[in-house]
Amino acid sequence: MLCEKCHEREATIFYTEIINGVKNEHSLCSECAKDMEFVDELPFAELLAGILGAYAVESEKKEDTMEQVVCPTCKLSYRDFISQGVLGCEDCYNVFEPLIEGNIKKIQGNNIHTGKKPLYNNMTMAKPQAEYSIIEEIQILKEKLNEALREEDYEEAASLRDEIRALRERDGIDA
Amino acid sequence: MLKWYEETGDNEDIVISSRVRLARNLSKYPFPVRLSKEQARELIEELKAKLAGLDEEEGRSYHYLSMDSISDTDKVALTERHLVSEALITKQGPAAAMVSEDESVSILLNEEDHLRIQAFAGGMNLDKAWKLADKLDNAINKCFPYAYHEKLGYLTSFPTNVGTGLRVSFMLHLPAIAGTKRLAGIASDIGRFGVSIRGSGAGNLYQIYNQKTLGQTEQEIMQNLTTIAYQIIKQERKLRKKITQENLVGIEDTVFRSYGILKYCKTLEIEEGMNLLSDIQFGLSGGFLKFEGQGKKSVYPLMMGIQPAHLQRLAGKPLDKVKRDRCRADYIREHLPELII
Ligand SMILES: [Zn+2]
Ligand SMILES: [Zn+2]
Repeated sequence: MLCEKCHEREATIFYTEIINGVKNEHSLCSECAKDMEFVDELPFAELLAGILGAYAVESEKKEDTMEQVVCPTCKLSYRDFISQGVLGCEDCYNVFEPLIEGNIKKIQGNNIHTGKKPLYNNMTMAKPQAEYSIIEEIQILKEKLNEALREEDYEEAASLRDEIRALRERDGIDA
Repeated sequence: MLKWYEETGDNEDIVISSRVRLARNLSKYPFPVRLSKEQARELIEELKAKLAGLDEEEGRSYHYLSMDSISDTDKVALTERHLVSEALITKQGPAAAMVSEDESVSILLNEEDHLRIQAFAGGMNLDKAWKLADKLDNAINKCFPYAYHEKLGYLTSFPTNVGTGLRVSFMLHLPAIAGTKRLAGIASDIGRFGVSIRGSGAGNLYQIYNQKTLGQTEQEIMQNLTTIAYQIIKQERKLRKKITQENLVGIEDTVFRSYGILKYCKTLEIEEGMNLLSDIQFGLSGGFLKFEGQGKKSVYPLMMGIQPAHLQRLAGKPLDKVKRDRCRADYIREHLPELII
């Protein structure tokens, strides 16, 4: 089979990419695969056969150790996640967070939720969600602030900085 | 109560419907993919019992449909009306749906996530659909704590839905854009703004929807989609005007011929039926063609009515293709309104 990109060389790397349950099969030659920084970066791509070069071998080794990680709550392994693109329970997000954070950012372009929050949470059924502690709240705002700075959204950054300052003052924490 | 597609809405010459979908999971169960059959059954029973109280909300009544206990034809018919998804009806293991009488709300139980809350409004009216879904979301949340992460937001089976869990879409009728081969260009233009487009079969019907669910508020996501929709609507209107100005006689002739075929054919394939109805819709919006009678003038209910499972339900038995095409022609003849000439 010829490489899907250059249509010249024989394809030696085959992989399946699953995004939201949609399967895409790809075949590439070694040259094109290198160019596309695919091998260890593509979200949820399972390398079926990587035959070439130190690069591929190294990334395979890395995959191997990552695949050992298993969610204690639902027993989903990172390998299962990679091959199906689906997580098994809410705890998976914490267990695999360091592994999937980059993927989430790549798919979503962002990794901080800014929308609606549940009115009612765990433990406290039918009771409005306990507010975050001020420390937690400040921590979250700080992350958002860093994010805004990275995105060079200075207007947003300024308003976040003000919010953090206000919280600290309210709580008597030194600014 | 009128069905959503009988109500009038903004820009309904082009926008058929607005849809909002929220993905939610309960905190105490694993996600559907890791649920055992027993757990799945327990989950559905618990949801069903607690959600029974939704009946009283705003006088909207719900039908509870267990996927084990309805026929395959009924399942497919529900997908033809966009009330449930393909994923729900093909699901291995327990799954169910609650569908409101007016078809403006459907709640899918144990599909890809524990809950998919969907709300529809006719025309361009995301706000109305959002208010329905948001309210329902809060009412359900009152009974069940959700899987939620302080940083990542609402947690979903697929990371492509995480954050808001919100997918919003418009169904658009785009005969002029499609007819002048401009879809590919539009798809790549809107892709840069995080919006995708996909065709929903024949009849020049297309859905546009947000790709990303994390990092923007619900209002921002809806605003972004609405802005893009306005751009597409503007283009479609401009092209319609141009086509009509260039060849009014030809366009009128096409629209009336399509009406003639629909009214007098004896057998009709689905694709031809959808495309002829698309011509009629074009004629209605442009004012070349006027239906007799009161109420909203749209062929969308006919487009649903001629889908295969709808015809089989009407016949009360399975139909082979020849019989189906025959029934489709009969159905249209009977339901296509007379013209004011
Ligand atoms: Zn190549
Ligand atoms: Zn898990």
